[in-house]
Amino acid sequence: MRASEAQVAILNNPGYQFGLIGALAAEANLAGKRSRLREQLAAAGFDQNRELRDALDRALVAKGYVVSWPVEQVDRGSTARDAFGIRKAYAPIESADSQLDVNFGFVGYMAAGAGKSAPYRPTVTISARLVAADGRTMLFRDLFAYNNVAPGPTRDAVSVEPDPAYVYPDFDDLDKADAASAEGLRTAIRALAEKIAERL
Amino acid sequence: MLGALASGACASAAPPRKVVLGETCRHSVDALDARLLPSLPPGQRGPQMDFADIAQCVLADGTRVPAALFDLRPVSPPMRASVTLEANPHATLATSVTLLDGGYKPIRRMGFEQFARRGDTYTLDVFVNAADRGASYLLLLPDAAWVGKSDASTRAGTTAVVVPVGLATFAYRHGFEAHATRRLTDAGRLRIELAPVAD
Repeated sequence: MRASEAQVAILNNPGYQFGLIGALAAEANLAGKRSRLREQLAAAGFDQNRELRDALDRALVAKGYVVSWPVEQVDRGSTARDAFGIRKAYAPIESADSQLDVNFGFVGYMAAGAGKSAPYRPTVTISARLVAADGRTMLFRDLFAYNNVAPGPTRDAVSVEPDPAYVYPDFDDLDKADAASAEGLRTAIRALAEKIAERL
Repeated sequence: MLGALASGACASAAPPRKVVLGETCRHSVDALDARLLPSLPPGQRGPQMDFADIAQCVLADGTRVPAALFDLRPVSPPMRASVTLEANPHATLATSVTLLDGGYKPIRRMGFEQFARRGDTYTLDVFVNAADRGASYLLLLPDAAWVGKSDASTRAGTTAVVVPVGLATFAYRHGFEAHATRRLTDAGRLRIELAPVAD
């Protein structure tokens, strides 16, 4: 899977509506929020890649699959991928019947707007493709979204509603949540892993 | 003068028709008339149907329920039957889907919880494999575990306020969280598409 980092996003961010200076100020504000969230997740020992691996293992084994992971879970090379992180080509393998390519799109906290009526909620999107051992035959492809509020390419993703236990009216509330912010993302990743296994 | 435009999270669709069960009720599934489903080329959508138009009354455990039966035999396995339900705020069909063999015996049943919510639809793909060579019919029956409940969804909405600035205008967009609730019922609109799957 491709590398990813926790993000913070505000849809319809007012700052981006006031020209270049507004956009720069908005981006600086978001950058500060992103750093703060990443520090909070690191302090909680949260690693989204490990969480996805553990959740997928559980969900797939429960369905009767035998799963083996590459030595390096995250590919930090220059593998050609599409906009969703899905590889453009696969090598044939002999060690398994098929290959599952999974990637985070967005992982972090997203708000539908800038006011208290649009709270921050854990938001995760995952793209998944299953190809046969020959590396050519596509068996399955889909997009999965937890808290699917963003318009655009995830509109028709398999959607999971967010757990109302993890809702933060503004960023200060999220900042004070400490380890609960990690738990919210863990809940999201597990929910999507189960959906992926359900649909394979 | 300010003008405000809002785009909500869900399109308002006209409510689907309620199912009216006539006086005649079939005693069992094998007495239902089976509708043929044409095999469509990849990418082509099947016609949208109103469950009220295709449902027939059948007795299930002594209770009159609406049901729709589809004939899969024109397409040989392996094939995929894709069932798409319209997520209508007034009435969304919460149906179960059962694959039946030629003797109308169930091969496998998928409840409404196995449908995936996608945007303004719920979808279910039923794969009929070569090993299911006896598979002949698809039966849709409202899922009693879900009818009467509701399903909530969260989306982003935007309001644009148009503000005159001198001779020009400026549109300020404000985002908000929009919540929609869909009533799960025994009525609604659906599509079913049948397509062969390459071995």
